[in-house]
Amino acid sequence: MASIDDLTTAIGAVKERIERIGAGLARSSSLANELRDEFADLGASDKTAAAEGVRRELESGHRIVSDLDDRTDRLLRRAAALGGRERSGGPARPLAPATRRGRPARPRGVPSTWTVSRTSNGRGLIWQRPGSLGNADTLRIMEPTDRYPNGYVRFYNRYGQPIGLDGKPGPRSRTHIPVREDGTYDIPQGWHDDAD
Amino acid sequence: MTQIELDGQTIARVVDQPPLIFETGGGWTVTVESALTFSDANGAVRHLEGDDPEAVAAMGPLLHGLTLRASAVEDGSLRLTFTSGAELIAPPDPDYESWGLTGPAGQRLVCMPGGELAIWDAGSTSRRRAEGDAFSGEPRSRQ
Repeated sequence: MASIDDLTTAIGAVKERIERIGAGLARSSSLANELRDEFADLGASDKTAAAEGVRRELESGHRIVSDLDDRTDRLLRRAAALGGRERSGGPARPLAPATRRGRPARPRGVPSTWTVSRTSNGRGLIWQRPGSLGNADTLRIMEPTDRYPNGYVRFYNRYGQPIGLDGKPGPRSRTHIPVREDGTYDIPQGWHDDAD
Repeated sequence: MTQIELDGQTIARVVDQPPLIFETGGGWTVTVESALTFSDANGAVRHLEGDDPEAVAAMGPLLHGLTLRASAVEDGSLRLTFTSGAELIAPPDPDYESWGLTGPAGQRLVCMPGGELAIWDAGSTSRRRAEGDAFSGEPRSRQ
């Protein structure tokens, strides 16, 4: 099985490749820009429009590559954090480790009867009380963001309102519960018993 | 751009406490927690915060009974237009989730901090009991 260091190396190689592609696209875009201006000076309107079309396509590609670059950055930061915990002997815990059957393990704060579903784009997991609708009685664990480098958790009450650690609905600054570096997080007062 | 199949849905209930939550007769729920702009049928524009109790209380009578004409997400912004000509726009928030949608078949869309979307499709094969049997839903959303 690959170690965190192996994964970090692989992600680093992907990032390097992405950066090279991004640099190539930036250069090509700059050249297309110059070409467009030269055609424009010559009064070649068709060729000017064609060069502008190429430039826009290249810029669009560059934006996609920049997004991929940001994502690999986040993956590297996350892998580095996990690797640091492994090396320090601490618990290396992903937000929701898999069970032997490959399903997300039930994290703290989730009653045993609740169902789980995963995003189609890998950004989070949600557990929900069977039979509840919308956001009612759900716990959602989300991947890291700039503000929450270890991810964050959202707890929703029976009315579908996000709640803070005091167990009450509140402003969004209080209802995004940060995940700590070791993968743990606080549970709101009065939240469901794990053993429910 | 992500199209959402809310067209023709009528807002049947608006929760009067924050965040702004409204439900359609077809079982969709829309939640807005951060800044939003609402333009009514007469063109009057209101800039509100979805977690402000007074703003949420004021939105109830404005939204209740409106029928959606079109709905779309672009660059993390949710845009709902109504048959009356009213419009609601909820842009992404750099630090917090700004808005979310849930559908009758388990569809779920969340605008994460910064505008990235987290998407749960109906009928996702990963949707299972945490330690138990699989169950399925019918795919209805169009991404």
